[in-house]
Amino acid sequence: MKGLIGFSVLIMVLTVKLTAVCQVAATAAGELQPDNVRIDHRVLMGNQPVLQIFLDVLRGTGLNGGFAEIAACSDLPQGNLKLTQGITIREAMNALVSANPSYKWELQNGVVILMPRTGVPLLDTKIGKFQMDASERETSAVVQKMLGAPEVRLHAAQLDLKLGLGQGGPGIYEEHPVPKAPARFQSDWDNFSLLDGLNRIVRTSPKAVWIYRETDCRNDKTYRVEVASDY
Amino acid sequence: MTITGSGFSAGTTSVNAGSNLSVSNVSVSSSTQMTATFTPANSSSAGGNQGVTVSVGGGPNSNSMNFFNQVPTHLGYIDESSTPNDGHSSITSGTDINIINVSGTTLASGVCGGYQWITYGLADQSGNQIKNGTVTFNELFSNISPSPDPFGSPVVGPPSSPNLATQVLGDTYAIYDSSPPACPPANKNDSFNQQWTATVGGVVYPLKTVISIARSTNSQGLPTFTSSITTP
Repeated sequence: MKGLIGFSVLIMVLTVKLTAVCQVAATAAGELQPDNVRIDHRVLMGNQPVLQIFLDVLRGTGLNGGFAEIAACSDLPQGNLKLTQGITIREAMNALVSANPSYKWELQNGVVILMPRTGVPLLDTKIGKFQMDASERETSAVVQKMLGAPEVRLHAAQLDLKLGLGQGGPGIYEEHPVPKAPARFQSDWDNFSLLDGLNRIVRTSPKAVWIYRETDCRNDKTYRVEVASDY
Repeated sequence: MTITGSGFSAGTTSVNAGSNLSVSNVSVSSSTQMTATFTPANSSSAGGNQGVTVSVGGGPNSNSMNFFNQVPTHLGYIDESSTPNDGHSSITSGTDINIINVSGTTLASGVCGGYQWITYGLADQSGNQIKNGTVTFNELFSNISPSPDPFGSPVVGPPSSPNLATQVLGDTYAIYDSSPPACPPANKNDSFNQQWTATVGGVVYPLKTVISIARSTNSQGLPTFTSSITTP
């Protein structure tokens, strides 16, 4: 490793804190719900991107989520939130939208959604039919295929929205991956909204969150949708 | 923390670790050994050696011993099996490829574009690699050029939270058009700087490392990426 010296394990206070962060939320048997899932860490977010705050709330809960935002050029919407460890997700989300009133949250089919209070028109697009056979490691690709549905492309054009180039992003690299066959899922869905489709897709993968971002920069309106699960 | 000494007494022994460390759960197991929990202050300036003293029965403080508070300060490229070139993989590009991110997830299938993986190790203020605990990383971009960016400005991705005992921070550079057979715009380029924060226990530590990234496409719209750490 370049620029780093040694691999000595230092027994220090940071270890104590890191361990605490790793605790897994205790959840009731059955489906995870905002009232029976508690966050296992403090949230101390000041002037941070709202997406980061939302994912910090969901981290460790195992819940699926959805996030939508509309931004100008490269300025990401910022927000604030301070929470103590142990409160329920419902309490946390209520606090999040109270501290950031331009957003609303709702629960749809077990997916915790945070989006602008004014709504996101493209997510209301009605899709007639969608079929897919994929694995849980291909959820992002499934989303891209759904965005290619004729109804979505037509509605995006009506809204003067262009699909932005894909650009990758941060992730986790496993140093010693354990071979494991990813679970597969099939979709054969009729007459649903794009929002509902995104919810169905992320529910195929534990803790996955769909992220819709629309940018209006100098009258050039683009949108991107990705799926996060390494947060 | 385990503290050894002499003359410890249950109920009358206190530990003082200064303003940067709070002390709790003091437990005396014998006259020569005790344990206590140290929690750092929520400050990125609370790192380094912190003096610790012990007092018994309200008596004078013992001599001071240093406790080293480790804080994350910078990133370095780290070679992994898929990123053997100073933490970089080779670049995969084509007009009909699957875009795979550093986590092994397929981002898009049958598209035109390319991608590259980067892996990083996290180091503390003494240059030692931190190899335990879960840390949440967030990226930031600056000095984006040109404006407007022909690829769209780099998009801040969602956080990444590796468990550093078995995982490392990864990044995927990619440019692809999700609407095949369209390709990214040909013969274009951009550049920008990338920085990161590391969050531990609710405390956000801005990392010093600055990474300079440049992206360009050839006449087919297939991308190449160059990147280097300009501030370690």
